[in-house]
Amino acid sequence: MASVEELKPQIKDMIVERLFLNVSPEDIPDGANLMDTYNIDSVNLFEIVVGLEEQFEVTLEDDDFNVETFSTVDNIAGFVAGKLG
Amino acid sequence: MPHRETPVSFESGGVSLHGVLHRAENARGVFVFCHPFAEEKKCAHRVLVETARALCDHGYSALRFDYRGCGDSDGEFVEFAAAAWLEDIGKAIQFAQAERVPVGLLGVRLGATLAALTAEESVAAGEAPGTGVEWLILWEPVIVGAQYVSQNLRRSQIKAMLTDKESFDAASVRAAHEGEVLDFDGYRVAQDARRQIEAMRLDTMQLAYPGSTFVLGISSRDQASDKIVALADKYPRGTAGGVRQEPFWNKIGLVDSGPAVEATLRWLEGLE
Repeated sequence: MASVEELKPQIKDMIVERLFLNVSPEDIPDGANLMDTYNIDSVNLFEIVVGLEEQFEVTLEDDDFNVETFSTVDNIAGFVAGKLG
Repeated sequence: MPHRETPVSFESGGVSLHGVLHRAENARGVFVFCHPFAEEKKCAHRVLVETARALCDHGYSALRFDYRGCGDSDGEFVEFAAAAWLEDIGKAIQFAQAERVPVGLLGVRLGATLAALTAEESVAAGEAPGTGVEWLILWEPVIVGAQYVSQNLRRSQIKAMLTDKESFDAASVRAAHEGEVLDFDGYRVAQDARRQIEAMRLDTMQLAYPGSTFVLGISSRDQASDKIVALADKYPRGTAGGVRQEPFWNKIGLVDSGPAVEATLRWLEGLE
Protein backbone atom coordinates (compact mmCIF):
# COMPACT_ATOMS: atom_id res chain seq x y z
CA MET A 1 0.00 0.00 0.00
CA ALA A 2 1.48 3.37 -1.04
CA SER A 3 1.87 6.12 1.51
CA VAL A 4 0.85 9.72 0.96
CA GLU A 5 4.50 10.69 0.46
CA GLU A 6 4.99 7.91 -2.10
CA LEU A 7 1.84 8.91 -3.95
CA LYS A 8 2.68 12.61 -4.33
CA PRO A 9 5.35 12.27 -7.07
CA GLN A 10 3.16 9.80 -8.97
CA ILE A 11 0.24 12.20 -8.80
CA LYS A 12 2.40 15.11 -9.94
CA ASP A 13 3.67 13.06 -12.89
CA MET A 14 0.12 12.16 -13.81
CA ILE A 15 -1.09 15.76 -13.60
CA VAL A 16 1.76 17.13 -15.72
CA GLU A 17 1.33 14.40 -18.30
CA ARG A 18 -2.44 14.47 -18.63
CA LEU A 19 -2.73 18.26 -18.57
CA PHE A 20 0.24 18.85 -20.90
CA LEU A 21 1.69 21.28 -18.36
CA ASN A 22 4.97 22.95 -19.16
CA VAL A 23 6.40 22.43 -15.69
CA SER A 24 8.50 19.72 -14.12
CA PRO A 25 6.45 17.53 -11.81
CA GLU A 26 8.87 18.13 -8.95
CA ASP A 27 8.28 21.87 -9.28
CA ILE A 28 4.64 21.56 -8.27
CA PRO A 29 4.46 22.49 -4.58
CA ASP A 30 2.59 19.92 -2.49
CA GLY A 31 0.29 22.55 -1.04
CA ALA A 32 -0.20 24.81 -4.06
CA ASN A 33 -3.79 25.41 -5.06
CA LEU A 34 -3.92 23.68 -8.45
CA MET A 35 -6.96 25.63 -9.68
CA ASP A 36 -5.33 28.98 -9.07
CA THR A 37 -1.75 28.08 -9.94
CA TYR A 38 -2.38 26.15 -13.15
CA ASN A 39 -5.76 27.56 -14.21
CA ILE A 40 -7.37 24.17 -13.88
CA ASP A 41 -10.90 24.15 -15.25
CA SER A 42 -13.56 21.45 -15.38
CA VAL A 43 -11.99 19.79 -18.43
CA ASN A 44 -8.61 19.59 -16.68
CA LEU A 45 -10.16 18.34 -13.47
CA PHE A 46 -12.02 15.69 -15.42
CA GLU A 47 -8.66 14.54 -16.83
CA ILE A 48 -7.25 14.35 -13.30
CA VAL A 49 -10.22 12.34 -12.05
CA VAL A 50 -9.99 9.92 -14.97
CA GLY A 51 -6.25 9.68 -14.36
CA LEU A 52 -6.81 8.80 -10.71
CA GLU A 53 -9.36 6.17 -11.64
CA GLU A 54 -7.18 4.64 -14.34
CA GLN A 55 -3.76 4.86 -12.73
CA PHE A 56 -4.61 4.19 -9.11
CA GLU A 57 -7.74 2.14 -9.76
CA VAL A 58 -9.80 4.10 -7.27
CA THR A 59 -13.52 4.55 -7.74
CA LEU A 60 -15.05 7.89 -6.89
CA GLU A 61 -18.38 7.90 -5.12
CA ASP A 62 -20.79 10.83 -5.19
CA ASP A 63 -19.64 11.90 -1.71
CA ASP A 64 -16.05 12.17 -2.94
CA PHE A 65 -16.81 15.15 -5.16
CA ASN A 66 -15.56 18.11 -3.22
CA VAL A 67 -13.46 20.99 -4.51
CA GLU A 68 -11.13 20.74 -1.52
CA THR A 69 -10.30 17.12 -2.31
CA PHE A 70 -8.79 18.11 -5.64
CA SER A 71 -7.37 21.49 -4.72
CA THR A 72 -3.78 20.44 -3.89
CA VAL A 73 -1.45 17.52 -4.44
CA ASP A 74 -1.42 17.05 -0.67
CA ASN A 75 -5.18 16.63 -0.63
CA ILE A 76 -5.31 14.38 -3.69
CA ALA A 77 -2.60 12.12 -2.27
CA GLY A 78 -4.44 11.93 1.04
CA PHE A 79 -7.66 11.10 -0.76
CA VAL A 80 -6.06 8.35 -2.87
CA ALA A 81 -4.23 6.89 0.12
CA GLY A 82 -7.52 6.77 1.99
CA LYS A 83 -9.20 4.99 -0.91
CA LEU A 84 -6.37 2.49 -1.25
CA GLY A 85 -6.11 1.95 2.49
CA MET B 1 -2.51 20.07 -54.07
CA PRO B 2 -5.54 22.03 -55.35
CA HIS B 3 -8.93 20.98 -54.12
CA ARG B 4 -12.49 22.29 -53.94
CA GLU B 5 -14.87 22.41 -50.99
CA THR B 6 -18.52 22.10 -51.94
CA PRO B 7 -21.58 22.08 -49.67
CA VAL B 8 -23.65 18.97 -50.37
CA SER B 9 -26.86 17.40 -49.14
CA PHE B 10 -28.35 13.95 -49.38
CA GLU B 11 -31.23 12.07 -47.83
CA SER B 12 -31.21 9.41 -45.17
CA GLY B 13 -34.37 7.98 -43.70
CA GLY B 14 -36.39 10.84 -45.18
CA VAL B 15 -34.17 13.42 -43.51
CA SER B 16 -31.94 15.85 -45.37
CA LEU B 17 -28.32 15.62 -44.26
CA HIS B 18 -25.82 18.41 -44.77
CA GLY B 19 -22.17 17.95 -45.60
CA VAL B 20 -19.12 19.40 -47.25
CA LEU B 21 -17.25 17.50 -49.92
CA HIS B 22 -13.54 18.27 -50.03
CA ARG B 23 -12.62 17.07 -53.49
CA ALA B 24 -8.96 16.43 -54.26
CA GLU B 25 -7.75 16.52 -57.84
CA ASN B 26 -7.22 13.00 -59.21
CA ALA B 27 -8.19 11.57 -55.84
CA ARG B 28 -7.00 8.09 -54.90
CA GLY B 29 -9.90 7.67 -52.54
CA VAL B 30 -12.49 9.50 -50.48
CA PHE B 31 -12.88 9.36 -46.73
CA VAL B 32 -16.28 9.70 -45.11
CA PHE B 33 -15.84 11.38 -41.73
CA CYS B 34 -17.85 10.08 -38.79
CA HIS B 35 -17.94 12.87 -36.26
CA PRO B 36 -18.02 12.52 -32.47
CA PHE B 37 -21.08 12.78 -30.25
CA ALA B 38 -22.73 15.86 -28.73
CA GLU B 39 -20.32 18.50 -27.42
CA GLU B 40 -17.34 16.49 -28.65
CA LYS B 41 -18.51 17.10 -32.22
CA LYS B 42 -18.53 20.84 -31.69
CA CYS B 43 -15.07 20.83 -30.15
CA ALA B 44 -13.66 18.60 -32.90
CA HIS B 45 -15.13 20.56 -35.80
CA ARG B 46 -12.11 22.66 -36.67
CA VAL B 47 -9.70 19.73 -36.43
CA LEU B 48 -11.90 17.72 -38.79
CA VAL B 49 -11.90 20.57 -41.31
CA GLU B 50 -8.10 20.75 -41.11
CA THR B 51 -7.87 16.98 -41.42
CA ALA B 52 -10.05 16.98 -44.54
CA ARG B 53 -7.80 19.61 -46.12
CA ALA B 54 -4.66 17.71 -45.16
CA LEU B 55 -6.04 14.55 -46.76
CA CYS B 56 -6.82 16.50 -49.93
CA ASP B 57 -3.25 17.77 -49.98
CA HIS B 58 -2.16 14.14 -50.06
CA GLY B 59 -4.56 13.02 -52.78
CA TYR B 60 -7.61 11.88 -50.82
CA SER B 61 -11.01 13.54 -50.94
CA ALA B 62 -13.10 13.81 -47.79
CA LEU B 63 -16.81 14.01 -47.08
CA ARG B 64 -17.67 15.69 -43.80
CA PHE B 65 -21.35 15.46 -42.96
CA ASP B 66 -23.65 15.89 -39.99
CA TYR B 67 -25.75 12.99 -38.73
CA ARG B 68 -29.46 13.70 -38.46
CA GLY B 69 -30.22 16.03 -35.57
CA CYS B 70 -26.69 17.43 -35.65
CA GLY B 71 -25.12 20.55 -37.10
CA ASP B 72 -26.88 21.73 -40.24
CA SER B 73 -28.69 18.46 -40.90
CA ASP B 74 -32.42 18.20 -40.27
CA GLY B 75 -33.89 16.42 -37.27
CA GLU B 76 -33.74 16.77 -33.50
CA PHE B 77 -30.73 15.65 -31.49
CA VAL B 78 -32.89 14.23 -28.71
CA GLU B 79 -34.29 11.76 -31.24
CA PHE B 80 -30.84 10.21 -31.64
CA ALA B 81 -30.79 6.49 -32.25
CA ALA B 82 -27.69 4.51 -33.08
CA ALA B 83 -29.44 2.67 -35.92
CA ALA B 84 -30.40 5.97 -37.54
CA TRP B 85 -26.87 7.30 -37.39
CA LEU B 86 -25.51 4.05 -38.83
CA GLU B 87 -28.03 4.48 -41.64
CA ASP B 88 -26.75 8.03 -42.13
CA ILE B 89 -23.18 6.78 -42.45
CA GLY B 90 -24.34 4.18 -44.96
CA LYS B 91 -26.02 6.89 -47.05
CA ALA B 92 -22.89 9.03 -46.82
CA ILE B 93 -20.86 6.10 -48.15
CA GLN B 94 -23.29 5.74 -51.05
CA PHE B 95 -23.00 9.46 -51.74
CA ALA B 96 -19.19 9.25 -51.66
CA GLN B 97 -19.20 6.27 -54.00
CA ALA B 98 -20.37 8.64 -56.76
CA GLU B 99 -16.77 9.91 -56.75
CA ARG B 100 -15.84 6.54 -58.33
CA VAL B 101 -12.81 6.00 -56.12
CA PRO B 102 -12.41 3.69 -53.11
CA VAL B 103 -14.20 4.85 -49.98
CA GLY B 104 -12.77 4.83 -46.47
CA LEU B 105 -14.17 5.77 -43.08
CA LEU B 106 -12.44 8.07 -40.62
CA GLY B 107 -14.21 8.23 -37.27
CA VAL B 108 -13.45 10.13 -34.10
CA ARG B 109 -14.50 9.01 -30.58
CA LEU B 110 -18.09 7.71 -30.74
CA GLY B 111 -17.95 8.41 -34.47
CA ALA B 112 -15.08 5.92 -34.65
CA THR B 113 -17.21 3.37 -32.84
CA LEU B 114 -20.02 3.93 -35.35
CA ALA B 115 -17.51 3.67 -38.20
CA ALA B 116 -16.31 0.33 -36.82
CA LEU B 117 -19.89 -0.92 -36.58
CA THR B 118 -20.55 0.24 -40.16
CA ALA B 119 -17.49 -1.66 -41.37
CA GLU B 120 -18.80 -4.79 -39.66
CA GLU B 121 -22.16 -4.28 -41.37
CA SER B 122 -20.37 -4.13 -44.71
CA VAL B 123 -18.79 -7.50 -43.88
CA ALA B 124 -22.16 -8.92 -42.92
CA ALA B 125 -23.56 -7.68 -46.23
CA GLY B 126 -20.83 -9.57 -48.03
CA GLU B 127 -19.05 -6.53 -49.34
CA ALA B 128 -15.35 -7.09 -49.89
CA PRO B 129 -12.87 -4.22 -49.67
CA GLY B 130 -13.05 -2.35 -52.92
CA THR B 131 -16.82 -2.53 -53.09
CA GLY B 132 -17.82 -1.13 -49.71
CA VAL B 133 -15.37 0.28 -47.20
CA GLU B 134 -11.76 0.12 -48.35
CA TRP B 135 -10.04 1.63 -45.30
CA LEU B 136 -11.03 2.15 -41.70
CA ILE B 137 -9.41 4.79 -39.51
CA LEU B 138 -10.46 5.03 -35.86
CA TRP B 139 -9.24 7.99 -33.82
CA GLU B 140 -9.46 7.43 -30.07
CA PRO B 141 -12.57 5.26 -30.41
CA VAL B 142 -15.04 4.80 -27.60
CA ILE B 143 -14.27 1.16 -26.89
CA VAL B 144 -16.69 0.61 -23.99
CA GLY B 145 -19.89 2.60 -24.37
CA ALA B 146 -20.94 2.24 -20.73
CA GLN B 147 -17.65 3.77 -19.60
CA TYR B 148 -18.19 6.66 -22.01
CA VAL B 149 -21.61 7.35 -20.51
CA SER B 150 -20.36 7.10 -16.93
CA GLN B 151 -17.48 9.45 -17.72
CA ASN B 152 -20.03 11.92 -18.99
CA LEU B 153 -21.67 11.76 -15.57
CA ARG B 154 -18.28 12.45 -14.00
CA ARG B 155 -17.86 15.46 -16.29
CA SER B 156 -21.28 16.80 -15.33
CA GLN B 157 -20.54 16.33 -11.62
CA ILE B 158 -17.21 18.12 -11.92
CA LYS B 159 -18.75 21.02 -13.86
CA ALA B 160 -21.48 21.39 -11.25
CA MET B 161 -18.94 21.16 -8.44
CA LEU B 162 -16.85 23.99 -9.86
CA THR B 163 -19.74 26.26 -10.80
CA ASP B 164 -21.95 25.77 -7.77
CA LYS B 165 -19.56 25.25 -4.86
CA GLU B 166 -22.07 26.14 -2.14
CA SER B 167 -25.07 24.01 -3.00
CA PHE B 168 -23.38 21.34 -5.13
CA ASP B 169 -24.74 17.84 -4.62
CA ALA B 170 -23.19 15.07 -6.71
CA ALA B 171 -26.13 12.75 -6.03
CA SER B 172 -28.56 15.28 -7.55
CA VAL B 173 -26.43 15.46 -10.68
CA ARG B 174 -26.49 11.67 -10.85
CA ALA B 175 -30.28 11.65 -10.43
CA ALA B 176 -30.65 14.14 -13.29
CA HIS B 177 -28.39 11.91 -15.35
CA GLU B 178 -30.72 9.00 -14.79
CA GLY B 179 -33.92 10.86 -15.67
CA GLU B 180 -36.07 10.16 -18.69
CA VAL B 181 -33.98 12.54 -20.77
CA LEU B 182 -30.44 12.99 -19.52
CA ASP B 183 -28.22 15.99 -19.88
CA PHE B 184 -25.26 14.79 -21.89
CA ASP B 185 -22.85 17.67 -21.48
CA GLY B 186 -25.54 20.13 -22.49
CA TYR B 187 -27.27 17.88 -25.03
CA ARG B 188 -30.56 16.12 -24.34
CA VAL B 189 -30.28 12.38 -24.77
CA ALA B 190 -33.15 9.94 -24.27
CA GLN B 191 -32.61 6.93 -22.00
CA ASP B 192 -33.16 4.58 -24.91
CA ALA B 193 -30.31 6.27 -26.77
CA ARG B 194 -28.18 6.07 -23.64
CA ARG B 195 -28.79 2.33 -23.46
CA GLN B 196 -27.80 1.98 -27.12
CA ILE B 197 -24.51 3.74 -26.45
CA GLU B 198 -23.92 1.68 -23.31
CA ALA B 199 -24.44 -1.48 -25.35
CA MET B 200 -21.59 -0.60 -27.73
CA ARG B 201 -18.51 -2.67 -26.88
CA LEU B 202 -15.73 -2.98 -29.39
CA ASP B 203 -13.54 -4.89 -26.95
CA THR B 204 -15.82 -7.91 -26.81
CA MET B 205 -17.14 -7.80 -30.38
CA GLN B 206 -15.92 -10.17 -33.02
CA LEU B 207 -14.37 -7.81 -35.57
CA ALA B 208 -14.15 -9.32 -39.00
CA TYR B 209 -13.70 -6.27 -41.21
CA PRO B 210 -10.88 -7.38 -43.53
CA GLY B 211 -9.73 -4.05 -44.94
CA SER B 212 -6.75 -2.02 -43.80
CA THR B 213 -7.52 -0.60 -40.38
CA PHE B 214 -5.70 2.02 -38.35
CA VAL B 215 -6.57 2.48 -34.68
CA LEU B 216 -5.00 5.64 -33.33
CA GLY B 217 -4.80 6.52 -29.67
CA ILE B 218 -4.69 10.25 -28.99
CA SER B 219 -3.57 10.98 -25.47
CA SER B 220 -0.82 12.38 -23.31
CA ARG B 221 1.42 9.49 -24.31
CA ASP B 222 3.09 9.11 -27.69
CA GLN B 223 2.42 5.42 -27.89
CA ALA B 224 -0.69 3.32 -28.23
CA SER B 225 -2.26 2.17 -24.97
CA ASP B 226 -2.86 -1.51 -24.30
CA LYS B 227 -6.54 -1.01 -25.11
CA ILE B 228 -5.77 0.53 -28.50
CA VAL B 229 -3.30 -2.23 -29.33
CA ALA B 230 -5.78 -4.90 -28.26
CA LEU B 231 -8.47 -3.36 -30.46
CA ALA B 232 -6.18 -3.13 -33.48
CA ASP B 233 -5.13 -6.75 -32.93
CA LYS B 234 -8.75 -7.85 -33.29
CA TYR B 235 -8.75 -6.74 -36.92
CA PRO B 236 -7.25 -9.05 -39.56
CA ARG B 237 -5.31 -6.09 -40.99
CA GLY B 238 -5.23 -3.78 -38.01
CA THR B 239 -2.43 -1.41 -37.07
CA ALA B 240 -2.23 0.46 -33.78
CA GLY B 241 -0.70 3.89 -33.35
CA GLY B 242 -0.43 6.50 -30.67
CA VAL B 243 0.23 10.22 -30.69
CA ARG B 244 0.75 12.72 -27.92
CA GLN B 245 -1.91 15.31 -28.57
CA GLU B 246 -4.37 17.17 -26.39
CA PRO B 247 -7.91 15.75 -26.56
CA PHE B 248 -9.23 18.25 -29.10
CA TRP B 249 -12.77 16.83 -28.71
CA ASN B 250 -12.87 18.06 -25.12
CA LYS B 251 -12.07 21.69 -25.50
CA ILE B 252 -13.18 24.36 -27.92
CA GLY B 253 -10.18 26.23 -29.23
CA LEU B 254 -7.82 23.29 -29.64
CA VAL B 255 -7.29 23.26 -33.39
CA ASP B 256 -3.98 21.49 -33.85
CA SER B 257 -4.70 18.40 -35.90
CA GLY B 258 -0.97 17.87 -36.48
CA PRO B 259 0.15 14.67 -34.74
CA ALA B 260 -3.00 12.65 -35.50
CA VAL B 261 -3.07 13.74 -39.14
CA GLU B 262 0.64 13.10 -39.59
CA ALA B 263 0.36 9.61 -38.11
CA THR B 264 -2.65 8.88 -40.32
CA LEU B 265 -0.94 10.12 -43.48
CA ARG B 266 2.15 8.05 -42.66
CA TRP B 267 -0.06 5.00 -42.28
CA LEU B 268 -1.79 5.69 -45.60
CA GLU B 269 1.57 6.20 -47.32
CA GLY B 270 2.66 2.84 -45.97
CA LEU B 271 -0.25 1.18 -47.76
CA GLU B 272 0.67 2.57 -51.16
